Amino acid sequence: MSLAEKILRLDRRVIFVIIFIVGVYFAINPIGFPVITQPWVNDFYSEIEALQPGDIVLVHWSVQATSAEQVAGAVPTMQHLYRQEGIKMIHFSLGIQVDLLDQLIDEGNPAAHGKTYGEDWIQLGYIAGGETACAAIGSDIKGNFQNDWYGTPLNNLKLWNEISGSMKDIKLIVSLSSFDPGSDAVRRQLQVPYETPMILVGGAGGLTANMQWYNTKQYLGMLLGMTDNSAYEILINMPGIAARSTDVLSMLYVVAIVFIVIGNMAYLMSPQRRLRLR
Amino acid sequence: MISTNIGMWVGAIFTILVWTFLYKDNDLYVFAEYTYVGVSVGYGFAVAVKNIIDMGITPITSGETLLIIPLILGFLLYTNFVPKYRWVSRWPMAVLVGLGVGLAMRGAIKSDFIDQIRGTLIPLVSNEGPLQSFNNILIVVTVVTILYYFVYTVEPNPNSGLGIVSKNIRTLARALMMVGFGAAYGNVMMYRFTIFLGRVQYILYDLLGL
Repeated sequence: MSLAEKILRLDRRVIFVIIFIVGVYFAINPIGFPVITQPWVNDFYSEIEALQPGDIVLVHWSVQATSAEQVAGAVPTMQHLYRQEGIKMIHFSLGIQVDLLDQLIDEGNPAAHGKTYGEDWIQLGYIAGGETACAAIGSDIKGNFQNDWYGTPLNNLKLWNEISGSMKDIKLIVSLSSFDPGSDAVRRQLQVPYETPMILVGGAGGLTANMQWYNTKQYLGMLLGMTDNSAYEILINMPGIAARSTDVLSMLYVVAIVFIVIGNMAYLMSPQRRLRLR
Repeated sequence: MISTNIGMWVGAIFTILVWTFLYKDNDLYVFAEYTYVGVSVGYGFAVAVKNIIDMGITPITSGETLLIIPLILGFLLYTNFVPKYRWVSRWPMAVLVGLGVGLAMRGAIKSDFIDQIRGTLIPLVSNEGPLQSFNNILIVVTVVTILYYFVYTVEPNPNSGLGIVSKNIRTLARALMMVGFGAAYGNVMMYRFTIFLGRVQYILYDLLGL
């Protein structure tokens, strides 16, 4: 058996072990690679910085446990929003795991920023229906809800009585989305018809798909995956887990590239390919 | 400092149980998988019931009687399980499809069609420098050639000059699509690594306090 054939028949578990070792090693011993800030991350930051006291932000969540890592930018985004003085937030979810997103909201530590539930933010919770639900929110947010997610009548909450229910009240939509129905439904039913500015927190896997919406200004800023998130953490001056992750991700990409190159070279040299070419 | 939170330990143990599948399919993995499915279904059911109560039954008892109509339509979906009355479930399904398509079209035409065309109406020579000009040219060339690739109705004679040009455009379009697929594959790898890294960080940082 030639070397090329041996490489092509390499037990995939060897690759898993190498990836695991590299991941763990660099997670414990970061090198400190520089972080590149993409223009869409700067735009994301600027949109939140531009908020004024009294502005209302509609926060959409499509996050579940299996893909929570995809929206690694959730907690820093919450922290950045809490830092903006006097802004109000209305949260809703198109996914059922509201407890998880409540946890992410709390990790941003609203109390430390003087934010109070009912006055500064409201949790509407899970709304079934995806695109239809988004359309209902757009047409009349007040008419479609009576209680918040915890069962409190919304009329008892100060913030609820301050809004008219029109999308004109909403200064910014922040969409945190890692599955469908997600940001696409919000974009089509809330951003496009009402021309409300919208920014996206998503996964690195969504870069190629979402770039078209960023280019056409449907998303005014994006925070996609851990690499963007690490740049964002530095922008808001709150370096956290993501800032430590850049090294690990970079090294994991290097490992993947090395395996791809070696695998392709082995394939090019392998007798099977020569036979196929004949 | 090592976490003393039992929930975190349970999460870490289940992560490791799922990872055992990388070695080979085994009972520990199956246990983790079945537990996940059971918990997800149970949680989903509870949330669905809460949703029906909050968004349907409570408003009806408060006087919004018109909500009975969608509630009844929703229940009619279950006739799908009774062969004799299965046809009834087509009514609510028709409402769902009609409503969904109508709403999707409302946003999609502008978002997915008009704005995308507008997005290609960009200056080929940009004021922002040669790199931006190159990007703009690349966008326009990619969109036009790939759209042409999927035009099946007119095929010029392959031996004519027009046929050779057509073939070359399709070859270029195919190459550009391959670049797109490569980028998408790279994105998928980034997505997988991020999930893996998230779990590693959970165990190392949150659980073991390293």
